[in-house]
Amino acid sequence: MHESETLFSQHGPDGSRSKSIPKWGALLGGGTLAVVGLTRRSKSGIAMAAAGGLLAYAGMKLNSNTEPGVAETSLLLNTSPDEAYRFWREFETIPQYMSHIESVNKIADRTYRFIARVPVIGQVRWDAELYTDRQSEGIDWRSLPGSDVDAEGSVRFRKAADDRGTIVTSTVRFRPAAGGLAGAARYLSKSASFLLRQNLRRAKALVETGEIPTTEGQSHGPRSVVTGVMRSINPVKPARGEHGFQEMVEARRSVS
Amino acid sequence: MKAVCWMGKEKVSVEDVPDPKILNPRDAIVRITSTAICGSDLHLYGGFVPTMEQGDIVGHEFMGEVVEIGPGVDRNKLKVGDRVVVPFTIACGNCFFCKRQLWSLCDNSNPNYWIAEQMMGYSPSGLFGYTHMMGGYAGGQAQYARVPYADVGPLKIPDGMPDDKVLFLSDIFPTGYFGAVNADIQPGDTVAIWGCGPVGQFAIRSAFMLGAERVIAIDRFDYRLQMAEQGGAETINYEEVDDVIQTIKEMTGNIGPDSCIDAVGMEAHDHGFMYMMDRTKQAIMAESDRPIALRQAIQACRKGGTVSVPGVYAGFDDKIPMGAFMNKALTMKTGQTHMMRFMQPLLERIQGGEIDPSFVISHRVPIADAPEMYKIFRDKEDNCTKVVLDPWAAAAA
Repeated sequence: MHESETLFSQHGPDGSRSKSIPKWGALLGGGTLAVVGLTRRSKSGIAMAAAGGLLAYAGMKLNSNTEPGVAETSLLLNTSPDEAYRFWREFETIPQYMSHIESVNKIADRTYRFIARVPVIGQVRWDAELYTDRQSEGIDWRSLPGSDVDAEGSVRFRKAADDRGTIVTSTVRFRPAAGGLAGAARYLSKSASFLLRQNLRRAKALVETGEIPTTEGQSHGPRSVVTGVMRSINPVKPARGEHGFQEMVEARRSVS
Repeated sequence: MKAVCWMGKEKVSVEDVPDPKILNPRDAIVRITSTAICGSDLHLYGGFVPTMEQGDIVGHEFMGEVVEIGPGVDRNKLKVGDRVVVPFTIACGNCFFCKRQLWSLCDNSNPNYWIAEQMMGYSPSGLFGYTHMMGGYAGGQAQYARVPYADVGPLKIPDGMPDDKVLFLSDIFPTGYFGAVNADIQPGDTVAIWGCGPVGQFAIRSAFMLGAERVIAIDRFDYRLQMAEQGGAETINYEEVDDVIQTIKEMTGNIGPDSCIDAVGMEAHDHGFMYMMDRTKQAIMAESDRPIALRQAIQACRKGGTVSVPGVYAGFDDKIPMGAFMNKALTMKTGQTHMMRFMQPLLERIQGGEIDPSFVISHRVPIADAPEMYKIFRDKEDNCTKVVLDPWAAAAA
């Protein structure tokens, strides 16, 4: 077992993920999800689509909780570990599948500058250094001093059984900065796991099909007033049963 | 363009909306020549399935001519001018599931996969004109539709075959056939089929194609039972017998049907206490489905038999007789239809004259009449079995 696999072991099986499991009653949940469905495809479109992800990054920056946040997710990709690695290693293509990342540029050997756009806060920038880079196996990175975000992450590629492709596991760990808006930050950082999963999903679709599935921009008939309001709320972050309407209202406030 | 939009519970209307655009490289735009209302559209109409949004364009049974294709579409498989039937399931063609011909389980085509994951653990494929949980793709009861992954799903139709004969390759014929395939029919078998709507009708005919010797069809509308009889089935009108299961037992020498097919789904009807309980629970949202046909299918099936469920269920169901299911060693198979597995072979059966699917059509109307036809179809008025819409016809005066 090499260094990176134990990198995050101190956090145990994972606090942030278990919190993301909703405790919703079957039909109430369905109803809530209906509302979420409405928020997903707002007229203001892409800008709003990015908001949830951006907020998660704001959460990383502002989180005044002393516990570090960890997000981890994995997916099966219908490709070889080598091809998966080569796709991930093209950091400059990250903005294609991470909706909140504006740009990624190489600034030195093994160092990349990430720029994300966050509402309220504006641009968030960090320089990531690759400290492990193994062909077909994995990549580890950490933010360098002076970045707006104090974070580190890893991606692992493991050949799936029965030639089914590659299991990609992505982990991001972020530490709180001093001060900040504790309440808002707690809400915002909840998005991290979901965001990571969304991004991995989009990457998988891009690798497997050459495009990311969307209904953004398709035709529809007249929407209701209620629908219009709901659709202007953060369309990426799901309002699960445990959060519900109140939190969506809060999210709406924090966006406006 | 004109499109049928879901505007709320029991409310659809024909709206003028912008023409669809290519949104992804592998998209195509199809100019629709024929489209139909499906029984599963009635579940949306009745407001039984969560995650609909006012203004959504409905419809998932459609065909037409390709008028535009994106730069990523494989030109060897599809080009402008092709006449195609579009399957209601959307599949990428390259994920774990598509590679195994499990098309309706495509891992990539549902952009709202996370809603479905919360409800079901994993997300099935995106569907046209259905809920946002199933992707929220604009549907085909319209003059044009955008078709994603256009080099995977659409089936090219040879010139000279009329729309009426091939339109139902978009859903109900393959769905009825898949129901029969899932019933694991062996030559000489007896098959019982709940529901004589269009899917049930195709399941009856498909069961015979697959070697069944007897088919017993169950419904409450005489005109549908007559159509089942024309397909070779023996019939039971459940409103005219005391006990459907007892009747089936008597018809099969007390051994039961080898396979039972539930072509009814979540909005079953019956008489008696259990039906009233289900209706009440559904009304107060304590239960999403009324699984009456499914309960009866499990109860009636012979020991060691197979229950196949092409009928649509949406959520959580009460009082499924698991004790009977387990102790009788039954098998259950279900799923949205893996369309691309069946479309070509069934087209060949139509070409060969084995079946003409247009027999289910009871109404042909201009698209403007869609709102009225939803109601007529839902209420089974005017002997309504299947409604085909002409998206381009002017409304009758």
